[in-house]
Amino acid sequence: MNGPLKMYSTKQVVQHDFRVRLPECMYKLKNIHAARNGVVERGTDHVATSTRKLDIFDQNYQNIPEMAALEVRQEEILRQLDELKKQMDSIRNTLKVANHAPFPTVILKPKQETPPSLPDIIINASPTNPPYSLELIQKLWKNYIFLSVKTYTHSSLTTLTENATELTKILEAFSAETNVPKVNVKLIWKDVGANVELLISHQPILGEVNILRYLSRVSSDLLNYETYNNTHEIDTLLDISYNIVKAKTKTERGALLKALSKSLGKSQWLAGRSQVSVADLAAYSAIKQATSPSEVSVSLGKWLQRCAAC
Amino acid sequence: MVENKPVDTSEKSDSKKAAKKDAKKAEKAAKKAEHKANKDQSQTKVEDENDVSVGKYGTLPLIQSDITATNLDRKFTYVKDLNKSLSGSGVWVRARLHTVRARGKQCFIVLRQREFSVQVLVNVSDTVSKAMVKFSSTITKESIVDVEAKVAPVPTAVAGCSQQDVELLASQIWVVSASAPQLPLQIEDASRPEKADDPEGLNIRVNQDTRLDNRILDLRTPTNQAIFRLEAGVCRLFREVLTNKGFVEIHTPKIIPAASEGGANVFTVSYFKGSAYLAQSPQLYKQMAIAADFDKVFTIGAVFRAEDSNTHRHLTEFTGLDLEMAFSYHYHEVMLTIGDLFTQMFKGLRDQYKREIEIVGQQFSVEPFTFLDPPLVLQFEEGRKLLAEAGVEVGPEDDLSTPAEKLLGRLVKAKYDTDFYILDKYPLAVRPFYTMPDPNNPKTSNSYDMFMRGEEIISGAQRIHDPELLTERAKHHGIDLQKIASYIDAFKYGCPPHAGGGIGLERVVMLYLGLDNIRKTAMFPRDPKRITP
Repeated sequence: MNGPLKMYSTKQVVQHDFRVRLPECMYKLKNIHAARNGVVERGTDHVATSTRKLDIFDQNYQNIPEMAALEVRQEEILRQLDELKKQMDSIRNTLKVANHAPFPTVILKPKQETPPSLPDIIINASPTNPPYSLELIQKLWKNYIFLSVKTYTHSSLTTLTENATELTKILEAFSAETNVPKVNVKLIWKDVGANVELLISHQPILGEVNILRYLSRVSSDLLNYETYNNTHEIDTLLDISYNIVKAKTKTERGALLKALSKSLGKSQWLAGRSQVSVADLAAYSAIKQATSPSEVSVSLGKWLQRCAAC
Repeated sequence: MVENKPVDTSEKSDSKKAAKKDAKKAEKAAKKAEHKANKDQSQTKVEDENDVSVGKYGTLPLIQSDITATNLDRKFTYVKDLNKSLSGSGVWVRARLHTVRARGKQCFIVLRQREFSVQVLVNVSDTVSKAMVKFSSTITKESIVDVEAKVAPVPTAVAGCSQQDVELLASQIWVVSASAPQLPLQIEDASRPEKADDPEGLNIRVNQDTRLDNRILDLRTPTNQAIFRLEAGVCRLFREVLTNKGFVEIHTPKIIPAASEGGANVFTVSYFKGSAYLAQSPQLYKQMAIAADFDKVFTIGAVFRAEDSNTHRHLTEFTGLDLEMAFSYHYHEVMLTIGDLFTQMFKGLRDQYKREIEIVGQQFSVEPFTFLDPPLVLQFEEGRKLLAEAGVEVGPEDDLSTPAEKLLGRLVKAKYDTDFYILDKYPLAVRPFYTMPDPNNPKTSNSYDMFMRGEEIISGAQRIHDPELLTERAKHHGIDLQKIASYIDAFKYGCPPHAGGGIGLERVVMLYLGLDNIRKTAMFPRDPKRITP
């Protein structure tokens, strides 16, 4: 090289070809660069390794004593944790509790045994649109949370409808198993139109289906549909239920009911499920509120009975 | 002498002046008389010549229930009943002349009867003379008049009258009782809506003190008519509801030998050679009635408090609605009975006094009263928690301050949309000595307050009915046992467990209607600065 300029040697910006040490604390994923059989193709244009540390920060600070101390501490903590785990295992063995398989799933599934501590709930409902789903939730949760309902009549109403009085009686008479955590529900009959309101802080949650969504989310038992594989379908069904209540004409309702029928198909519950879901509760309540018995098909009628009996 | 002189002269000049004055006066009087005579003459002349309606107007002789009067069987129609169905028929109306306005050959009169009003037209015609129209236009406002008229439908609604679709065509008009021409306050001013957000509206108001000084005139406004009718309704409903629940109405003495609570804030009255006090609560007598096996009692009567507090909600004399009730095992039986009493009263007011509430709402724009059935019951602890969330800390053994009570009222209203609620289990430390302590928590008591629009209206509790415990509690509070001996003695011969409470009628009405001053709901209020009228 006889050029006048001699260039500076700079630090290499991108380094390839070094072996990545995968942290062991994480789940193993398939190497996306791997061939189908799992062998990593070490191609020429792939990652290169360097023996030296890359970053300037790393270069300069790799030997600070604090870092080492920190590392030592981490090691120590990990070791202690390990010991703790062993202890726990031994305790479990002595207590002869079935060893749970480690959770393999990514989504954290809440445990059934610990119901959340819900705040007291206020629900404002119009007696023309009684939230029948409450009745079903109460029954479904009888081993889980006791929804202790106390009803009031707001001064904006002079009389209650027959349906509302009936629901009041059912809800107030319900008693759950003993030792089930209790949540106080204050159901206030009030002139609020078709939109049921749920009040926890200052702004209400509007609409019965949204209340069901809320309740299913705070709960961790079978009603929580976020772990289902057909979440969107459940959500669609919830919106159909909402529209059934809102629908003004019989034809409008007919179309929506048909959609429900289709979703029910030949299975036990909506969305082709073998277990009851929030969609069933919402649809049950909507149909009871807004439709006359003649509008409901035979299969839906049977399903309604199943709902009522659940 | 020197000093006397000028006085003398002044006297002289005075007398001179006086003489001059008298002369002038006499002259004036003479002139007046002459003028009057002239006028009378001319008037009589007019009447003589062409007054076709003689005997159809004028001032009625004093009504002294003379049985020889010819019009004893005259039927009067109420202004509120005047409507299109009566059009064409002749009616007699006795009402107050609200306003009068003459315009050429016509005279418009608005007659008012309580909150109802109707327009009367006195029109010159072949049966109505000019003189009659003139006479009509000179009747003073607020006079009571008898009017014979024909009901006529109107093409466009009469603005400013309650009977909008008809007017009256007068054929006779008689003054029954004339009002003085100068009114200390105008009824229109006193009944003008008080709306803050109306920049165009007239801003003439009548001061509260002016109103109270001239209460008779002030009470004639539709709003006041409505307020006191509603107040009567509260009393009636209180009686009705409690009587249906098996309560007995009792009357307790208002002159009492000893101050019932401590001794402060009682009025002393001379009683022959000694002195006595005015009752500041019928509580002792209610409790004695319970001890005498009346089971459930209530009383309505005046209560006196010598508190020198000039606030919007304190009076020195007010009407107390008090009740006391024996219960079987838990004081909540009583608390919920009182709660239900309120709910039924509110329902009755809402359903039977809709019009009155509306009228009051037109002058003082307030939100309608809301409540829940059954009433909302909160524990004192829950109330504290709600306040803490809003940033107001109240100690577990502290009473709620007035601002805290108001805030709590707003919080409860936001959460439950109710203006009425019960706060149960107050701390023992802030209640009177006769309050029964909670058996499970030494710091709380079996006592409750009830609130309307964030203001306390009733404070009640289970009372201690055991003389020993009562003595102990009184000692704990440092009360002289001598002074309350008669109270303790009342329980010596056995007394059922009981609880109760008392309500101030004026305060309940004020809060139900959402008014800002208790003087608006007391007909003739008494406060530290006012004992008239």
